[in-house]
Amino acid sequence: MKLLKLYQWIAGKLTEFCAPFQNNESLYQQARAFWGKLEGISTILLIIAVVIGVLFAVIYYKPYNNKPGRHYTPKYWVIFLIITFVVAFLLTLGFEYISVAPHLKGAMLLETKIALGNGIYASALYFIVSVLWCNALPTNAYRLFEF
Amino acid sequence: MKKVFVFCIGGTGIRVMKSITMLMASGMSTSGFTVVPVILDPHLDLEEKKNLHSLIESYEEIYRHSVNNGTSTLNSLDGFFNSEMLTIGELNEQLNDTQQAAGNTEKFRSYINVANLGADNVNNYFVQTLFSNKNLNNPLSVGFKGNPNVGTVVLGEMIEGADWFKAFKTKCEKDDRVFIISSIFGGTGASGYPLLEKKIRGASDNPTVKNALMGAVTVLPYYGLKDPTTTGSDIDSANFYTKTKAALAYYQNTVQSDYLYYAGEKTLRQVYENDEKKQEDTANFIELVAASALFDFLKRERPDRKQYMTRAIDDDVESLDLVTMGSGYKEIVKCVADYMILRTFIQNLPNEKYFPLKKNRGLDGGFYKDAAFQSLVRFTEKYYQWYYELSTNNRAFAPLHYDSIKQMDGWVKTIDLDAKDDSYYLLRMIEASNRYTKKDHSNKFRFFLQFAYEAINGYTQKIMK
Repeated sequence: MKLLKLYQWIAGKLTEFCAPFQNNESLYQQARAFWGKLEGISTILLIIAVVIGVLFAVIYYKPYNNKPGRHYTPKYWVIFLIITFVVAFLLTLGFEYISVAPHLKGAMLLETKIALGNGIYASALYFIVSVLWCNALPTNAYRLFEF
Repeated sequence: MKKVFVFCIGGTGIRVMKSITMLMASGMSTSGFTVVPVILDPHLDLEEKKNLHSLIESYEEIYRHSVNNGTSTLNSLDGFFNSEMLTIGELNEQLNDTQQAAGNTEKFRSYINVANLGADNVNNYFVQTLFSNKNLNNPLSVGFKGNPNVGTVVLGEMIEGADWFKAFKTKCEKDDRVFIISSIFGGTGASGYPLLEKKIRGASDNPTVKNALMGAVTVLPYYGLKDPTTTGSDIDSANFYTKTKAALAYYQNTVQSDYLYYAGEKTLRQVYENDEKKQEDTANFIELVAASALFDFLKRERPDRKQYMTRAIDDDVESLDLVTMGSGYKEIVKCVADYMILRTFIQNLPNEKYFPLKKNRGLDGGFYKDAAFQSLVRFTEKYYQWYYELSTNNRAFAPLHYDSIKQMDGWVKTIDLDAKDDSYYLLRMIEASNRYTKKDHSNKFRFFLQFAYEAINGYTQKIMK
């Protein structure tokens, strides 16, 4: 599935990425191939965001708040939000680097932007799951987002 | 509703009843009995007596809040404030007059009408034999000043004519019990106990009263008073042991209680100011021991013959903890530890902006300002003062380290509790709330006490092992 368009708002389009290589046919083709490989792993990238976002929300609202230490306070919810972002970012970047090594100029920046986007998606999912949890599921945490 | 009428005679009776009230608040079980305290002290304006009345009212108020369910009443909670307390006046739906009936400003001479005895009347010599001039000139407004010979005369009439005694006889039902608390070295207690016992066992017109299972705790000397010549007082603690021996000799052949408990010290460890008007004596370990007698009595059945009970401590040390007291004191220590932990909740939870029960159970700012919680706050201040006095007295009852909520694993000395700080208890409180899914009431105050107790008991039950 071609899901790289979900990252267009931060990573830009294929044409913008390939533009610097217009005058070099070989590099241009490498750039297109690079983008194509990223497109090929985009589904997995999105899965990383979903899994990390949901997972850390579940960990916060269940096992983490089953331990003492006043974990129910919003301070720890925010800490978990930050952790979600950072982990999603690093995992995404690491997976991209291993799967599609960025040899071209600008390729590392592209992968970094996609990773940042994934971090934001994961954080958004963390927030959405938190809202759902506060309103419908059992937890020892403070229901910060209860309606 | 089965009841136990607790007659608290004299200053010691009042102080022991205070300890009983504190232990009941802490969760000590009265085995299903409603406690009906009856305070007998002729000492007018005794601050201690007024304070006890106020404490009992406070306890009752908190209890009522905990079982209130709008138009109906819920069962008593397990744990804190689990037993009902009712004054004799409330039981009889009249004003409680034990305070008023005891008041008398006249001198003893006038009370027994010595002036009407002719100079040649042989009864004059009889009076002079039994009573000194000091006895005769003593105003009754400050009690009997350690003179049971005076107390015997006054109390006898006081008991017979009192509305509360009539109410007791009316309201005493089958399975109800009687418990009498007194000292053996004072004036009121030493005379009052055998008199009251005699009146009860002599109630031939009322077999239920006559045959009621009766227990008593008589407190032997446990404190001294400063030299009376320096204060002008008429009470001399040098006579305490002499009076005790005399009273014990009398009790040997006359005691009619089914269970008689003794509590006391081998030496007079603490010396108080000798002020017969104020009697500002701080809470003492012996009073706590005497208080525990009531709870023990309520667990027992009618014996085949009279039982004489006492209890000891394992080590004769100045400051007692669980090890030096012995395993027999585990329940008392656990109860006190529980309430002192509850005190940390009472102090800190109002400031916890994000405590989950604020949303889940409505324990918000309004709840903490409400009358129910505020009555608990006031009671807890008195509780803390009581425990402080016990823990700093001479023969201290000091089984707790209660200074820091960040290091609570050492809350009970000599035992390592698994809760390292207060967040452990708060988590259990949240879990208890989440487990409770019944919709039988919406009493927030009851929720607070119930979940707090479950949380605290979850850790402190280790003390009982």
